[in-house]
Amino acid sequence: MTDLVPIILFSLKVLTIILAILIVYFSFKSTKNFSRNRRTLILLEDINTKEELPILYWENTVGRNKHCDIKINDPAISREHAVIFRRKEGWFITDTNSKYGVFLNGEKINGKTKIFINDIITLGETSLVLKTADQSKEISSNKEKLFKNVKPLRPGKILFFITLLNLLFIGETFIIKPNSVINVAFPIIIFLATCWIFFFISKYLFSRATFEIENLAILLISIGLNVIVNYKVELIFSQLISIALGMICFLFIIWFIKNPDNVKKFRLLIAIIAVIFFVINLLFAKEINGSRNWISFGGLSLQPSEFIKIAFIFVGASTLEDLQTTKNLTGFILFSAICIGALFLMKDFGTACVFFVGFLVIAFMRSGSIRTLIFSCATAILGSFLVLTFKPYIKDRFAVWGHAFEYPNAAGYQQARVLSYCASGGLFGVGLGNGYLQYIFASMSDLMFGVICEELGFIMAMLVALTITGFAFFARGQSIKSRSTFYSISSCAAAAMLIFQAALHIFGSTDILPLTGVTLPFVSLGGSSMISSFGLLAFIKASDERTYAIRRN
Amino acid sequence: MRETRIRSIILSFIIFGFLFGLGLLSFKLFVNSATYALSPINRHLLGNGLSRAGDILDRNNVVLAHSEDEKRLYNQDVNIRKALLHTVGDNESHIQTSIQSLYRNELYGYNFIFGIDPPEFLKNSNNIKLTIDSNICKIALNALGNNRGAVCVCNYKTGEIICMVSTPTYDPYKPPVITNDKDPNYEGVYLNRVLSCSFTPGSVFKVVTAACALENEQDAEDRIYTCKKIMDVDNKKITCMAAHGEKDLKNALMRSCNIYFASLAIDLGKDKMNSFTNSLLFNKRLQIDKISTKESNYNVTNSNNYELGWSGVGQYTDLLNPMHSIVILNAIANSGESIDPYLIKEISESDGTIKYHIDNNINSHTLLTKSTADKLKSMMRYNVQKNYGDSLFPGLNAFAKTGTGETSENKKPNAWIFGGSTNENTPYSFCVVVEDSGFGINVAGPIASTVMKALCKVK
Repeated sequence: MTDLVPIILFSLKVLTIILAILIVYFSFKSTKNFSRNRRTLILLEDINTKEELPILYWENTVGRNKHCDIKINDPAISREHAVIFRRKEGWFITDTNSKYGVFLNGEKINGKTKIFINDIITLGETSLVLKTADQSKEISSNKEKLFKNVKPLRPGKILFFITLLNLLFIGETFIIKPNSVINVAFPIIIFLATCWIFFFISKYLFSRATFEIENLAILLISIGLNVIVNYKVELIFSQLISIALGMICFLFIIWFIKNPDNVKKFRLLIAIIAVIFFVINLLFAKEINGSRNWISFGGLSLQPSEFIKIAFIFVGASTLEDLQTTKNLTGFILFSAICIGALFLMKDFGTACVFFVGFLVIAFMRSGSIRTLIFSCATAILGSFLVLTFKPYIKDRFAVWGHAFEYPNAAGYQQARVLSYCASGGLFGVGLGNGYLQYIFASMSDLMFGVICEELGFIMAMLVALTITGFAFFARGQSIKSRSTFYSISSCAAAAMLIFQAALHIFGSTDILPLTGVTLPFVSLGGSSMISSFGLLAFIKASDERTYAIRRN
Repeated sequence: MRETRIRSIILSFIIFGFLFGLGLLSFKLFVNSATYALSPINRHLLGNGLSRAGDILDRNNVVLAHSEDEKRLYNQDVNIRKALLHTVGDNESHIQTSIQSLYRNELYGYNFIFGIDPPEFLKNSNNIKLTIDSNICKIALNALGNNRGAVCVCNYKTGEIICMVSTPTYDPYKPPVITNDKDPNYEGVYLNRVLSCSFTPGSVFKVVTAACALENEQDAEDRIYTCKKIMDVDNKKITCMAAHGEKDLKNALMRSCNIYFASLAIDLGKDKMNSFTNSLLFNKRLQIDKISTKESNYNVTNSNNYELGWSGVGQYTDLLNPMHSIVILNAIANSGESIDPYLIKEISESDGTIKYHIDNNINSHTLLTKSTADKLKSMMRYNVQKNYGDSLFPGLNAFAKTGTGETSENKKPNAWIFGGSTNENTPYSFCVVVEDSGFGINVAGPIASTVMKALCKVK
């Protein structure tokens, strides 16, 4: 009988890994369900030549420039003349500072103007009539199915499998530490209940048809939570509250940005609040482990910088109409400089790097200027040199970089242990709660990747990393299909920040990059981090065209 | 929108950077997994973690360490446990040159797929058989008594290390709690003095100076210097135990005359002394299986004649590692050809399949010419006959040299003896060092005698 236990335990480990892989695979696969093919939404027909110009996207630039979505060869048309875009209310056109203006049915327009089928739009010497896609003579592909891969959406089924995965984790705990199984099972069951409530709210209250991205986040949280609960049960309750708050934040942000034009009204306010947060942080923060990035009141401590990540994206992203009319980045650069500068003052270099990557993505996606990228990077390098010159003790962090394993009892203490315990775990792990890395300082936040590698195995740890990569691939995939450049930019920036933070976490703790001490999104212990991860994920979810377009019947 | 899509390529760069990093991490973990996992910092391996390791046996299949009921067990005899502590190791991996520290990979059968803690049915631990004779080690430990020192015996025909004992030591079942680093009972207790320490050699180094002369000078054997007890070099005094008068090389070695060897070293000069000692593997770490020894020191590049003179009699900055001295002795005993010493005889899987056997892995170095080696051996044999007397090593036809290495004002000297048996059926070389003790012949001599008599079954 006792001989059977190791076999059962090993099978359980393998089973959880297979199940987790399947969950990730099917979740990403079903993000393709109901996604729109590249098809014409409406079309413009040249009155004289009868040439048809299909409109493929939700927001389209019109002009002579070869990068324009609707390209018209007419010398009287400006390079970027106008933007035609779709909102919930219908189709609109805006003049984007063109030389000769835009005329609708013979009248010069001023600002955002609604257009209807059979309206005649005149740009330069070209007149175009707006038609529905079915009226096309040439485009026969319209007969194709509206949606490809039409399958019933089963997000609930995937959530069921995640529930099963959690039960397998509890089973593992039952074999390893039978005495503590009740303590462990209770918070996990509360967590699962929260997830199901989140699912039903999303499905019935918000009538959302999709839940794949949320499922993946829940999977990541499950993995982290089961590791944490086997380490110290008492840490779990604040984590559970953060998860619930994160879910609320997620739903709120998606609701808040459902109309991208409204967001810009709040942009300045959000920027000011963010700056005030930083000021409060700098004035009242207490220094914990070398960084002044915590403020606490009434027994509750939080990291303002985590929430400012969300504000940062709000301030940075904008609609195509905005991009074409206000081309300068000065305001955003100024805001970014304040944020990153404040983080430097707090000595939170990891988060400063995450912000900087977010800044690069937003700045480049808005301006397309490689010069801005080079200039920003040069400034950052110069700034780092200045910091290293004036604050030489920061160099100590880099002192053992790449050689941490040679100093296992000095500056390479944490990294050397992460490497040693990662290797100890093998592909399948030593089992939940059986690891030793958990006893190292800040293991559940800064060294979480290593703890997963040790206890759940290398495959599970890679799966976590690849799931976060999957979020980024998804965000990039949505960048053309999304309903506005606001969503494209915000989701790419959010994904960049998530993936870069994961990179700093994973590679910092394994001595491929210098150790900075940032959390692994969704997996690590940490309330502020959890909420902000959900906030960032909301932008990715919002970029999915199906989030707002498809409703549950 | 299309432009935004094109610009989102910046995210792709970040994604590919991340994937590249993951690839690099996987590669790094995969390639170094054994180093990482089997590092002493890994607490999976300490205490009960060792219970997964295979057996360690001595040359006569006496079990030195094995695993049973989730515990690591050592030999029943406390003196064997203490004598072999530095060779076998303890649960906490304190001794870095021990088999349990360096051969974890083999003992555990670790692999990256199943990690450090594979399920019972996938365990693949190996057994290691050593060349050590545990009984001789126990005798050596008793002979060393309460001294701090090292005893090493090697078969110069095969390279097998028969005995390797270092004191102070402790019982691996009762590791000491060391509160004061200077506690003399535990000074350097975690170091294997045979492998990881080098000591001021004193007169045993005269063998090296003599070898240098024999290799470089035609008339070395007949060269005569006169000892008047004191010699002035650069207005400083090199002193001797007595006024030995006119001596040739053989008799100077037998009398262990400082003046003779100091003069010889000065006449040979820095360059010859430096290059010869380097060719004799001084200033170099030796590799004994996976163990890297502490190097012996000899460097007179920046010294004056006075210092060069003292360096020729084993003082100045000279340091000699006991295992290195065995390598030199093996060359002397074996016509200049030194078989590399080794500790691991065989590594086998639990079902008996042999994974490694020393027979295919014996290496050797030619350190001396045959004539130099033979001359040195006969001079050292002459030394035993005329000076110590064959009663010290009855029936062994021993060759040997003692040494008394002066270290500092407030410490007694290091007592040395090294040598070997010239008999075909007892081809053993030995080295004994006792720190902070007294004269070589008085302190180290009896220890070497006891061990060699036991080994060669002399009544």
